[in-house]
Amino acid sequence: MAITGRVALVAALGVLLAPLGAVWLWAVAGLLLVGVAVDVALAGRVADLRMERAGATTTRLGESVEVALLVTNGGGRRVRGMLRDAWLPSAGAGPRAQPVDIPPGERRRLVSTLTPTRRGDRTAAHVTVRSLGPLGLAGRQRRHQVPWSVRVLPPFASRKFLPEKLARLRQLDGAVALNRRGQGTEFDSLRDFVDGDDVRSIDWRATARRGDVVVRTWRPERDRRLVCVLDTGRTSAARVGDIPRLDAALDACLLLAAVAARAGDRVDLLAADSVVRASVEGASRNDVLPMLVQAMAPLEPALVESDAQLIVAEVLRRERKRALVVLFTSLDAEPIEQGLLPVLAGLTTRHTVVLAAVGDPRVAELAARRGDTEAVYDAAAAERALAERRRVMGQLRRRGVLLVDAPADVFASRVADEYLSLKAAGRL
Amino acid sequence: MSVSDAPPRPAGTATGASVRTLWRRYRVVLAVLLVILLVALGIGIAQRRGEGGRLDPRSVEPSGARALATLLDDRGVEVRRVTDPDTLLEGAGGRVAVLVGIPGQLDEDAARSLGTASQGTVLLVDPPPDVLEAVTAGIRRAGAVPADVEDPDCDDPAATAAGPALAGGTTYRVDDGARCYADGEQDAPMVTGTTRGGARLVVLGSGAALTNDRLDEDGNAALGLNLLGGDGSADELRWLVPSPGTAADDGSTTSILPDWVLPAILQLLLVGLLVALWRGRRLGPPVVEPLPVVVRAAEAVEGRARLYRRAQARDLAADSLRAGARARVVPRLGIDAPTGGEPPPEAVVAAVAARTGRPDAAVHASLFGPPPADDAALVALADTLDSIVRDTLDPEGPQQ
Repeated sequence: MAITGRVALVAALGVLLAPLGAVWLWAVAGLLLVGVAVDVALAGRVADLRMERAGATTTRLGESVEVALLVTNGGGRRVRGMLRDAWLPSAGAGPRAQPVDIPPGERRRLVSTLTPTRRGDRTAAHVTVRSLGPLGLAGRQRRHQVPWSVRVLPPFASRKFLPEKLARLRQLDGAVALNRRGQGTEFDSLRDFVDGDDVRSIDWRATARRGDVVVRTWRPERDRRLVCVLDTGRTSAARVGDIPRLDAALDACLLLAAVAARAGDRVDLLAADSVVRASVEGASRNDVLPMLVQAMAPLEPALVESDAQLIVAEVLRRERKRALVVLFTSLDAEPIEQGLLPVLAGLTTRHTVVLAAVGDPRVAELAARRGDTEAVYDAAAAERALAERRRVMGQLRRRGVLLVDAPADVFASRVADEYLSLKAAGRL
Repeated sequence: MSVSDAPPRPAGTATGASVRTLWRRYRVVLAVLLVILLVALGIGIAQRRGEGGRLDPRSVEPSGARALATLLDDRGVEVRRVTDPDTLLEGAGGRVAVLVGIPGQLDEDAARSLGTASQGTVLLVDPPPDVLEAVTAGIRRAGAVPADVEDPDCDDPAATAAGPALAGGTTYRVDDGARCYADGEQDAPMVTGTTRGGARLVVLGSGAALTNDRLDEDGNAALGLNLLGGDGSADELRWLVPSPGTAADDGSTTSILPDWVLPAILQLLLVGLLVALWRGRRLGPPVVEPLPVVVRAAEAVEGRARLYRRAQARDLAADSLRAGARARVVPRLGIDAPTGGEPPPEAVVAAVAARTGRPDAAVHASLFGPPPADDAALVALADTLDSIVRDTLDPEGPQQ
């Protein structure tokens, strides 16, 4: 039950009758009471409404989608009033409330526009309907639960790097690989010798058979395996600039997967902290990106210490053949030294390991501060952090781990570069 | 085909409160409210038992006068509590005493009609000038004295018989009558005279002597009894008390406002309540959402900087600044370092001194010296290290 402003308005006008005697005020109050009772009695029943949803189930962060609410009036009276379709605040749903007017037995379609502000599954909370009576003084109010969820996918902002990376990949695929053979390349085809070909690539056996000079061509090995390992533990919650480390890692992982899928490699995903949060295995080249994006969408940083042992064991269990393991985590000294280093050997003996961490330009900024006491203490603390980072990086390098340490804006690009240079060097 | 193909009705999605669930949810609250209401009523009733205000014959409060009324009753004086000033003198005879404890409640007409009393005794306690003027001609307000126990020192038999009593408050000047408790002054806190109609009139400057609180002290009780007929001079005492209606009118502003203002104000309060109900009813409850934590990656570094500053940890700060500077210059010096360690200090100092043209001792003091003595020295050290790093990485710089 709810009253409207008209009740207050009528009561306020009733004040003007006060000089005529208190009895008039009683009359106004009684009239209002009767009016409210009549309105509540005659308002359409909200419980008789039947609601369904239809519309989008996915969107990308930063884009808008529409979700429709189909409201059928199954009751015997007209339902007229306001309807609020409430979503999680971060779903960015609008309008906040909309007018409804549904005669008995009819159906209306009410559209909410969602502009989510956070990644993940954004769910609908509840639908509230206030159905007013014929006098517009009062009405009934009731809620409906109409579940719906829109999955908000990572924005993949590093798409802008993709054409450049693919161009470099084509270079590797064509000219570069032609004259290069050895580890990391495989036999592609035979073709006629043209001026400028390396004489070492002439296939004498085929030349003898054919009577013309034939050379072998090579291409980078395909069907190599690539595992993106996302650390979703507490260190991934830290924000560099304004985005959490995890989001930067997701972005880089998507770019890497896009490039690798084009290069013909298989991409797996493992996201874990103290438990495995998401995983993608054995996706084909064409659907790997959609599968990754779907798997990544609900990932949130968990405020727990990551279990490096679990992550390493999980990677070893999944990848029997040699693979490139790209570990997205941070270079904080304590989790690396206590957690990762003791179990790293198992990984590096079987696989090529790249550790990718988003660097924080703020630390370098602090380290460069000079001038007064406060600034110098800031600089000292930052130098200490940098020294720890250098120590950790040294320890990782000595164990054969490749490092990518880049600020957030070029992080994805650097990770993809590392992959391409490994591919060019035939180290996959 | 006999099978009905009506589509299954979709399950209802309505949730929230029906009347029954509302009742279930709020019955405890309602019960508690009811109990609170009943307790409040009970307390109110209990407090009303001692109803009445100052100098009220029913009041057992310290400022009431139930004790005096009981004493009078014991002596055969019938105490009648009167709330309407107009009926005060109805049928009054010679053996009737009239007590007006709070004369301020008398309007001009009532005061004038009280003044027409021609027999019996009229006792006024601290009357305002206009009431006094209306009741009598021979008594005027003069000044005031603090309340104190005084000897009567006059020829009024009631006061003389009572002896020393509490007197004070307003003092009066009388042309022809007894002046009691005057303590030698011309103006007295208790005077006697006659009303305009000729009845005996006693004016007290303060009613303190007659209250429950003070009645048992000195001659207060005797004075009250003697004045009000307890000495056998009267059979009936008419005791005027403010009626509930007139008490509120006692000089307050409401009495000058039109009748309809109070209902109008109540109606406005109702309007306010209705507006609150209208605006306060949300269209559905707020939606809660678990929010992500916001941790800035550099927070630990900034925290450590504040700790350094608070502890004035110049040694630690200088160590890390020096380590940072060494880490920048050593890779450019071409010195062999043991695996995982730093090269020997002497080699570093010599190489840096050679590249920058600084004396060995100064370079050593900067890169490996003792902790700075104060914050200024620390700031200076940071600048020196900066210039050493700059010169080492870019040896051509200083010459240009």
